[in-house]
Amino acid sequence: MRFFLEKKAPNQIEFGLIYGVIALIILGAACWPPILTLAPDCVFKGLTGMSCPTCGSTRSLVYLSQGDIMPAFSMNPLVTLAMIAAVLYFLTTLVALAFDLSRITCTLTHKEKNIARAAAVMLLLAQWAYLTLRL
Amino acid sequence: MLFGGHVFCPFCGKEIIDENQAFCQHCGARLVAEAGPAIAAAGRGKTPWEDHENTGFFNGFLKTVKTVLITPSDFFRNMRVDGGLTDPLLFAMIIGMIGLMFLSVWDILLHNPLRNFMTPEIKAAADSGMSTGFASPVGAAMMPFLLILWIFLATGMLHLFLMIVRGAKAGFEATFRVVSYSVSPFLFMAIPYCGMLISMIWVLTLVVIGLREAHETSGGRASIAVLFPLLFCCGMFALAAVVIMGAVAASFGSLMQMYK
Repeated sequence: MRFFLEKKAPNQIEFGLIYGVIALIILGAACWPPILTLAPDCVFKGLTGMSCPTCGSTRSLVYLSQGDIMPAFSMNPLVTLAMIAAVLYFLTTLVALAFDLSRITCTLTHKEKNIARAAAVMLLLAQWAYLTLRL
Repeated sequence: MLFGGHVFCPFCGKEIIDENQAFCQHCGARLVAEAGPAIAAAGRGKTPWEDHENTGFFNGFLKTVKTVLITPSDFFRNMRVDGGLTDPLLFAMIIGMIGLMFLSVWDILLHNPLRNFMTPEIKAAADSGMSTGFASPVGAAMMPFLLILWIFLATGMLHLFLMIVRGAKAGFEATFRVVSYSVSPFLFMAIPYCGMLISMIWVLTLVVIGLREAHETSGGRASIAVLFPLLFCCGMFALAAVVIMGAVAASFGSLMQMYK
């Protein structure tokens, strides 16, 4: 794995801005008190009795919007991590855009890419197991 | 740089072990340009919608809808995988809003008659479905924004799963364009009762075909990338389909009882 600094290429899509804004909108909506009453119950859990891998997402977002990171993490670890990562990515992109700075870029070898793929699947399965056992 | 069979780093001047290595082992500088999207732009062109300067706005729109619905493989095979997000997003917004307006109209006019035939459990599950609240003014006002959010979130998730199954040979933009043009079947929401089910199944089929053609990957990888998140994240769509099909079957059963 190599990290290096790279200037923004012309016409490069600003993923940091797009997904950062989406994350901030979602967190803003989660601040709205009746969100938990409006959020639908999990169909998967309703019919099978088992948690789905995204169960607890709304509650984790509500906790996260109030700045309670640990309760948010306990509700749904991956959603919490994804939201925090999106907000941090948004901030770094914003700073890089504002000051015309190079961005931190990462390159993986084929072996590392395969490890990352396997890790992603394992994380999803681990989260599902955790939520099933906990809820 | 190659001198007398030895390869040297152009940045620090020290010898490199392997001429194919991506980075210098001494200074860490990148030696080869990072591989960009593996899909060549050659042979691909603008869609009729993007070429509206020549085809015209309505003509381009209708031609794109027709091609996507009737010959999706040809459409996505010839669709360019770069060129910006604005045009496909605008197309998806227009189609999506037309479809969702029809859905709201049926929601208001028919008061969701399928609910009368549902058991309490199925009714509770159906209340968690996507159609709830479409008819409310707040829901209608939020729809364009939710549609944009949905397209970006769906694209992000699909591209992530496509990367996991090693199917992402073109960039994020290719996935985004596939998702945007694949909402064309939202027009079938004009059909009451089963329009949503038809459009959802058609959208999923188009996304699989689109990813296969745009990323030049196998149908299996594209299918896994599309179906894996659906099965994994709630099985929401599969269950919604089961709920609707069950309600339709129950309604037919009740009608048969009435005429006996």
